Amino acid sequence: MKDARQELEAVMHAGRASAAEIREDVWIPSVCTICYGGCAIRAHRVNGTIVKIEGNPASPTGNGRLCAKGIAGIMILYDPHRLKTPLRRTNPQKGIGIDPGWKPISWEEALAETAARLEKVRAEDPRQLVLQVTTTMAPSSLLFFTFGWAFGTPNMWVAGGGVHCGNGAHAAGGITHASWSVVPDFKHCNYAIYFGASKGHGAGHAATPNIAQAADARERGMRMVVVDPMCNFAAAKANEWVPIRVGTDAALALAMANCLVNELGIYDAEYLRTKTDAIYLVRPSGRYARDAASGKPLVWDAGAGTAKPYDDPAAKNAALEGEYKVDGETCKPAFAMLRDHLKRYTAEEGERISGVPAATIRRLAREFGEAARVGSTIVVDGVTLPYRPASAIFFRGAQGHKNSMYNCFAIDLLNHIVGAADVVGGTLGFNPVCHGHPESGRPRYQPRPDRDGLMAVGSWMLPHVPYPPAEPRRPDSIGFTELFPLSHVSPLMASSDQEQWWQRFDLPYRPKMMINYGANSIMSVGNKDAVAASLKNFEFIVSFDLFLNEFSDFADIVLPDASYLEVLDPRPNFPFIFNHPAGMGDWGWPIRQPVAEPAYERRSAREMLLGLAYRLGLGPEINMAINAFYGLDGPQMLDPAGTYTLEEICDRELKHKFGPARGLEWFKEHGVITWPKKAEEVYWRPFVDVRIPIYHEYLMDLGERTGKLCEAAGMHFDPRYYGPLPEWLPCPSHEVKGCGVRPLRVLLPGRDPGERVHDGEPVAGRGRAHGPVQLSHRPQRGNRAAQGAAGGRGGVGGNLDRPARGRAHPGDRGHPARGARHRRLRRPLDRAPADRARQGRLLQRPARGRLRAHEPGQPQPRPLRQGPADAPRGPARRARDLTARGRAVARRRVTRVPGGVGGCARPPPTAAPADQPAGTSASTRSGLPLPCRILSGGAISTAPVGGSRSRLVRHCNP
Amino acid sequence: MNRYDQLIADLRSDYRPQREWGEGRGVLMVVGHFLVGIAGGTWLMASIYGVTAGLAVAYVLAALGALAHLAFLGRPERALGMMRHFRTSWISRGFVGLALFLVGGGIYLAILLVASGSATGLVARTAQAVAAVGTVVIIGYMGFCYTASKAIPFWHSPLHPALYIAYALRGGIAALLVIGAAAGAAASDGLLQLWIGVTVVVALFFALEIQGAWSGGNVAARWSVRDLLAGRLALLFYGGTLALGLIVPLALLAASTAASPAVMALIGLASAAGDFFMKLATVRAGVYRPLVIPARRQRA
Amino acid sequence: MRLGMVIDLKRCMACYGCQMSCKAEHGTPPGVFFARVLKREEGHYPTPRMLFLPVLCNHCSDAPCVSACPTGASHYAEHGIVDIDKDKCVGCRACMMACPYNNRYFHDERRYYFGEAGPTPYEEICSDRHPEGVVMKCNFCRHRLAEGKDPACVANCAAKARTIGDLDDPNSTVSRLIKERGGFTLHPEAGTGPNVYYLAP
Ligand SMILES: Nc1nc2c(c(=O)[nH]1)N[C@H]1C(S)=C(S)[C@@H](COP(=O)(O)OP(=O)(O)OC[C@H]3O[C@@H](n4cnc5c(=O)[nH]c(N)nc54)[C@H](O)[C@@H]3O)O[C@H]1N2
Ligand SMILES: Nc1nc2c(c(=O)[nH]1)N[C@H]1C(S)=C(S)[C@@H](COP(=O)(O)OP(=O)(O)OC[C@H]3O[C@@H](n4cnc5c(=O)[nH]c(N)nc54)[C@H](O)[C@@H]3O)O[C@H]1N2
Ligand code: SF4
Ligand code: SF4
Ligand code: SF4
Ligand code: SF4
Ligand code: SF4
Ligand SMILES: [Mo]
Repeated sequence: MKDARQELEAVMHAGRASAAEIREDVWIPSVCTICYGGCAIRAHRVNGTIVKIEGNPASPTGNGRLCAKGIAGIMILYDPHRLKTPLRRTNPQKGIGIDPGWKPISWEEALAETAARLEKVRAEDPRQLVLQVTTTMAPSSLLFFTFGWAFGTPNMWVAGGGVHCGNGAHAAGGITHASWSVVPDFKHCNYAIYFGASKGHGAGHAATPNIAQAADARERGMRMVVVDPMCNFAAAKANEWVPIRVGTDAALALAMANCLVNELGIYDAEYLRTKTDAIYLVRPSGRYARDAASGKPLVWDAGAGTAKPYDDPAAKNAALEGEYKVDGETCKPAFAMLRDHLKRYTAEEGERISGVPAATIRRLAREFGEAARVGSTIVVDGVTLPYRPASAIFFRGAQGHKNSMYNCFAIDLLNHIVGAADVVGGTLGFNPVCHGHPESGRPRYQPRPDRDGLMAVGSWMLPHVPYPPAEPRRPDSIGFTELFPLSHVSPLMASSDQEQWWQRFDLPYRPKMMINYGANSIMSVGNKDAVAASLKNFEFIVSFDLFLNEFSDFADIVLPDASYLEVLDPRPNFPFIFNHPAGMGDWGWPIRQPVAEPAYERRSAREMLLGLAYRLGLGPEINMAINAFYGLDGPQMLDPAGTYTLEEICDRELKHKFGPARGLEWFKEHGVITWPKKAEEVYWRPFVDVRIPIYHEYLMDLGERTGKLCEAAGMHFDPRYYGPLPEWLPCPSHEVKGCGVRPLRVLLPGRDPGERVHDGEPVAGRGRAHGPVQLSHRPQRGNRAAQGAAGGRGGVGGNLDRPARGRAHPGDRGHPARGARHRRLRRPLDRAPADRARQGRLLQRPARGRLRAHEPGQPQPRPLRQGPADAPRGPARRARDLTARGRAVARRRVTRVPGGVGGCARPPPTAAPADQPAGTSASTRSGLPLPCRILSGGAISTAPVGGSRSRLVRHCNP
Repeated sequence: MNRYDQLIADLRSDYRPQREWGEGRGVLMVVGHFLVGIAGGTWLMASIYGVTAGLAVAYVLAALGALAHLAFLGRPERALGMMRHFRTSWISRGFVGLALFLVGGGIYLAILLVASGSATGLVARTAQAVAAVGTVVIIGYMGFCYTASKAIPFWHSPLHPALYIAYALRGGIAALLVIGAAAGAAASDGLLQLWIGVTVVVALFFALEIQGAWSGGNVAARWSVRDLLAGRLALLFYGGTLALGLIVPLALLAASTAASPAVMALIGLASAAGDFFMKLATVRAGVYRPLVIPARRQRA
Repeated sequence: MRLGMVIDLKRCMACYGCQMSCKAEHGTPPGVFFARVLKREEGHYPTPRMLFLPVLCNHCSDAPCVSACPTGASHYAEHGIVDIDKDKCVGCRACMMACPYNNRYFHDERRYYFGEAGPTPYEEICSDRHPEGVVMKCNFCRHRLAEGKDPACVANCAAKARTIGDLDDPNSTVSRLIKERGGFTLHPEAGTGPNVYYLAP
């Protein structure tokens, strides 16, 4: 290969420094954060410039392989549109698209002003400070939370991430799997149903860290069913795509559960008895029957013919069925309650609501039930374990609705009915049990039982844990999470009716100042106008960001943050509960470290916040908060009186977890520490004595108490969301009429407007308008991806009630920076959803209730940035241009995105096409998307299109 | 940036026209082929008819064509390297042919001019022979350049070389008509009849090629035909090729009983212009066959 | 030894990682993709399909691009790799017209991802590798092979769907996969003898 070596020289160094001039050539391990997958990376730095980012094969997260975004991170680092210096607004007027008149200032000025403002706010009432953070930053938000605690404000939220990302999914995942989310045990699972998620596929939640496992499963022959309104990337690789009406997953899942339990009689009695509250006796009031002495829930010991506390060893064979007299009341085991409850959800009812045919529902239930092999066991690593190779998982899609939590409970119920939870082949939480590194025994956590024997998480990302819920109380925070203790965030943080409720609940203060850490709530929360209005009320907003974006229009000071490639973080994966790959394999704890020096005036927000805390005299508070956040004790504990650098803190955290020999220096060199997982950690369910609720009794109490508080303040409260058994409840925003296919009209040369055009026909225009007509059948992720990458992240695909945030596949368009998160800057807003405020509220899980009696008219969405012709130069101007361009592209692109879903972004004024009378079209009948096909840029056709398939197509379609 | 947007948008995965030859700087390539083609034809015809001025014109055209070719290249300074691979590459063969023509033709012409009309020496004969070889190559190679393009089914047809040879002849005749007219001589009937004959052959070949492309079962080829006859190239085709190259000369022929020099010149010019547009249109009509042929797009 | 690649469409998860890792490895300008992922929609509601096909230069054994090249810039390098000698290429684009797989790109002028904002430091470095006026394409990452590494797209494929190896060796992984799983090539009718094989999904 001599040739190749010479070639190598020529290829790699052509025209630049000869080998002798290379002063530096290093690979530095760190961690990606473009999404929260947290894959381990290695950055190649030559003479100070990052020339390549690769995966770090030493880490189990990513296994040395990255997604397209991760590889393209260089372009975030070097994006010329990044903020370079602190900016201060000169135009006091704030509003979407109003030029703030940025003026560069020094860090000292910026920090001095910020500190002064903070001091004043703190003196008046520290709660006036609101901290807002972006989701991907959340796993490493040490200083975000600790600063809030130290300062004394309860008002911290993850903006759109909180509202849309996983409000229900995280809570449900926490209550039933002690984890933020769930994945199939790819290694052993034989049958997986995905409800609105793309784990292990293309892009999306937990994609890359799981791709190899998902590919193994696919090769092994795992059957995969994707339930999704659109044929997304996961569906593309699935055996079956089951189109569903948005927001109706609970109906489908409950109907499947009914088939399993009541029609097929498939359930795992053993699991239900020992690992759930199925045996707990329920009184006619709906509450558990409790032992008078201990207050413990009672179960029916059939052998002895008496009720006993659930943990009585004699109650091994407690009844799952029947009716029993306890203290004069007729009680039923929770499982019997569930059985009765499910009877309402016949397959036919499921079909009526979700649009999935009853026969399909029955078939899926049977396939799932049979695949689960209830009763079987398998030996893994010498340990005999239950073997339940079937899994039902969910994420953002299924959970992103008003009935979010019930949707997730209902789906997850399928797993618990067949006992396929955290056992081999079933549904796994993201590592809720860890026994720690063999040398240090840290980190160590596992779920534990509460007084009712129900599971409380062992580790969690936020101070707020999902279970047991806190006592509802009069709100102290502007988001009212005290009133709705299950929620970790609340849309009231940015809704249009907040002032009314603050008044009614006598909130003694108003938010005055905000520190934003990279969230773009204007774009990500929903209803930009309401968000904008709430932002305008702040006296002062400081925003750390990489770019000027829509949110910046409301900031007073914008601070140029260091990107993920320029910062230090000892816990980038928030080990391990959030994004560490589940299943057997290795544990890996990587650190994020700067791989490049921040250029210009950029500085790490974390260090700035730490500095601010010390500057404000909050040293003891922040040090203690950090101790609490990391659980630092012993010699690694921070001295309250001390002043520490971020490096020192990281060093202590690492030494605390892995021993004094493995501090920051060790990690900087090695990047990651790994050790093997044990079967008892991965398949922990049989080993940890906790139960999970299939009957959510606690919700009733919660509902009652919250309801009382609400009613006292005149807030309408809907108790239906606080029933103990999951229900399907309609989401008003899904019932919007007239959201069928919106025929796009285009004038094709030589044709009448609206004339039918057949698939594959050429559009013979001039210039670029030439090409074959492409009829498209369905909205699908790819289209969104293209949109996103093309600058159009808003609007197409996704949920009926909100514009999907296209998860851009940067690869689709080929440019790194184009798919990355800051792409948000460029997305066209004209496809913003109709009423986001409403949606924001509706999305809140049960706890939320209805905050407002009536819905306002839907404001007409309009573009945020429509710069006048003489708009100023610079990034803002560019953003405008890009937005306009993005819109143009989106317009071009939208032609591929049909009906139901994307079409909804703009209510279609047009009648159904002539050959598809309204009322008979699939869309108007079932509300399902995709009844007709929209042609590239044009009319609609339902005519079948012939044409034989090519060899390859045959090959490629499983 | 449009071009890149386009590329990025389809990731080259669709039926897409080739854009390297015939668009932007690529027009120079067509100009080159056009000039060199005419040059070859003219040299041939001029040799047959013994029109020394024709030889000179052919030479000038070939030289211009060579310049156009050079200007088309991304790296013209390396053009000599193009001689290397004549064993497999038609471009290389063409380049060698052109070089032979320019050298041989140049020497022959020089001798001819110096010796004012008689060049019968060994050197002259050799030079003439070299030029003749060059002529044959430059007349013949062009069509093969296209036929060699496996990616573009419309071009990948055995008729293409024949068509290009016919073009060259038609171009040569047209040039002679113009040269004759410039010299004030009315063209001989023979030349006109030859023009008509070759034109019929060109039209026939073209029709055959279109027919073959349309019915050959390749969708990309059908896209090409569609583009040419009813799509983005229709204007070039109907206006340039058909109107200018065929109808105008024919009308002129029909209208003028006496073949006046002016009419001759017009016929020649129109015919040549028509040929140019014909080449431009067919080059631009090249449509790549995509890698995955989507089932529903198989019917063009 | 004849180098070849096998792409297992059963394992490919359509992540576009190959497309981007190749870009990053070679620092190709906007619009140039040595590795591409093609996406197609097929079928009709409610049983549509999305088809993804990752493609790259096939390093054809009988490469029409090499035959068409007048300068010899396009040549067979070691192990049957088809590469372009950028110092010989005149930019005549005949190879582009010849490649039935659309795998070649003409680099007519320098372009940067951020347009008028100019090149990023990263682009400054990698754009020097790509002289203008010549044609460029995948070279199977010869420089990586020389260092004993897999090509960037193979090394990064998160689904481990791509394998590179010796097709002449009947015992190599690639040969085995092709034999066992019935590997096929693209456009075999073009007679180019591609050395990139696909395994059916
Ligand atoms: N490329 C890229 N990757 C990312 C991100 C990004 O911005 N870009 N963001 C990261 C973040 S923050 C997150 S939270 C994850 C999210 O990743 P995922 O959980 O995969 O979320 P989405 O892709 O938004 O939505 C998943 C699917 O839900 C479907 N869906 C919508 N409504 C419903 C419904 O009512 N029922 C059902 N069953 N399905 C429905 C959508 O059609 C979509 O296909 O991705 C992460 N990864
Ligand atoms: N319509 C619709 N809305 C949605 C969703 C959807 O699918 N559809 N998805 C929801 C989900 S799951 C989520 S998680 C949220 C996400 O919403 P947000 O939390 O707002 O996150 P992003 O928009 O991804 O990123 C916000 C900003 O972070 C900045 N940024 C990037 N890197 C850094 C950094 O290192 N430091 C700092 N300081 N700033 C940085 C970028 O400038 C970017 O504009 O959106 C939610 N909203
Ligand atoms: S999945 Fe997320 S964390 Fe992993 S490489 Fe891609 S963007 Fe980075
Ligand atoms: S990197 Fe691998 S899995 Fe991803 S698209 Fe390419 S071949 Fe498929
Ligand atoms: S795929 Fe194209 S460029 Fe690659 S060797 Fe074959 S013909 Fe040449
Ligand atoms: S462009 Fe370069 S590589 Fe291609 S045929 Fe011409 S000289 Fe050869
Ligand atoms: S082998 Fe190398 S050059 Fe070829 S596609 Fe893969 S990464 Fe790109
Ligand atoms: Mo998210």
